[in-house]
Amino acid sequence: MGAPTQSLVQLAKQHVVPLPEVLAWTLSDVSGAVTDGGGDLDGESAAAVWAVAAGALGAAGEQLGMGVLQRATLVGPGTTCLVIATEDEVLTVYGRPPKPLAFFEKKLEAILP
Amino acid sequence: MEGILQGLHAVEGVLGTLVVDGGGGLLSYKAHAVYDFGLLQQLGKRIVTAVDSIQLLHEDWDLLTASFGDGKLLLKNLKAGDGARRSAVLGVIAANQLNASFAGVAIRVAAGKLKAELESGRVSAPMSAPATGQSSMAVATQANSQAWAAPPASAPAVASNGLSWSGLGGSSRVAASGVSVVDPESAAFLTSCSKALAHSVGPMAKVFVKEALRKLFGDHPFTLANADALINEITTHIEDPAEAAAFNKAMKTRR
Repeated sequence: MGAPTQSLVQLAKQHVVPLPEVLAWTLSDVSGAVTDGGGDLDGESAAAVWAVAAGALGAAGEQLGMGVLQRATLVGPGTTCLVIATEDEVLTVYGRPPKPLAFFEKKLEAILP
Repeated sequence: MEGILQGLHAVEGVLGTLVVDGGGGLLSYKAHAVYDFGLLQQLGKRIVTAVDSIQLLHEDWDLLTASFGDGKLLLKNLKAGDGARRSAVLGVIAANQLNASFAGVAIRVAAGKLKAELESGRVSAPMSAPATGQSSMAVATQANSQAWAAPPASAPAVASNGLSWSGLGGSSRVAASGVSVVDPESAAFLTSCSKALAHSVGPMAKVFVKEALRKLFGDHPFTLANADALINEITTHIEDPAEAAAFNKAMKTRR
């Protein structure tokens, strides 16, 4: 992760969110308050849910001595989701479920300086 | 379960494994000594907080991978299906060099076996703290089939914020739309309701209000005539009696 984490959300918003494979996205602060978003998504619910989850996962990482949470991925039969977290923001990107999540992760890796 | 978790440690980069139940209790673990029982017990609580939240939107979730600056935490849903007994989660603590492909296969294999163990009723109530001097590599597999009885219809969720709630009741709801209302007054009431509830549960309030609306009225538009039913439904799920009373009072005066 060569990029400052602070800018990763903005980089992802710029390069990942516009991809045609993206179904919806939401950007929130760490309390879950939506600041931006788009697509077919109940953004307020998604932001709240992922803010809580990111907080718990971040605490878990610190407890394990692994440092701060950088990103999370979630997959399921109807879900393909990439979450990028910084100290201030949480970006959640939903892809069309059949799309392998690796696609988004590769895109994300590609935009890192 | 010990042998199943042991199998995961054959994958390069795996540092620890654990199985937690829906309440965050440790059912089994196998980990490097640095991850002692107390730490893993706390980790279990954090895992459940994250999973409870995620399940509100993604009841069908399968695998969550959290990447940190210096490691990863992978969580695998061990719930077998709609008819399954109590849910559980497999956690894998790993270094960054974990081979995702190998790990994915190993975790799927382990999850299948763990689900069978859990469904068999041979697995138990959460572990208690090991006796002084016991190795942290020890794994407990106590037999207590009673602990795996089916959960109540409204399983506790997001317990850490003082609220019990069921899931949203469907599979992934990425495209879930907003709630329909019959008039602006009804919409304003729902906004007030969310704000009042936020005093107890924070940003999840809106999610919980929507859950209550779906449970009570399905797809029917909300009207102020149903305000009491909604208030009462939400109130019953606020665990703190003082907060529940405050919410109930605040909302009934705004009706």
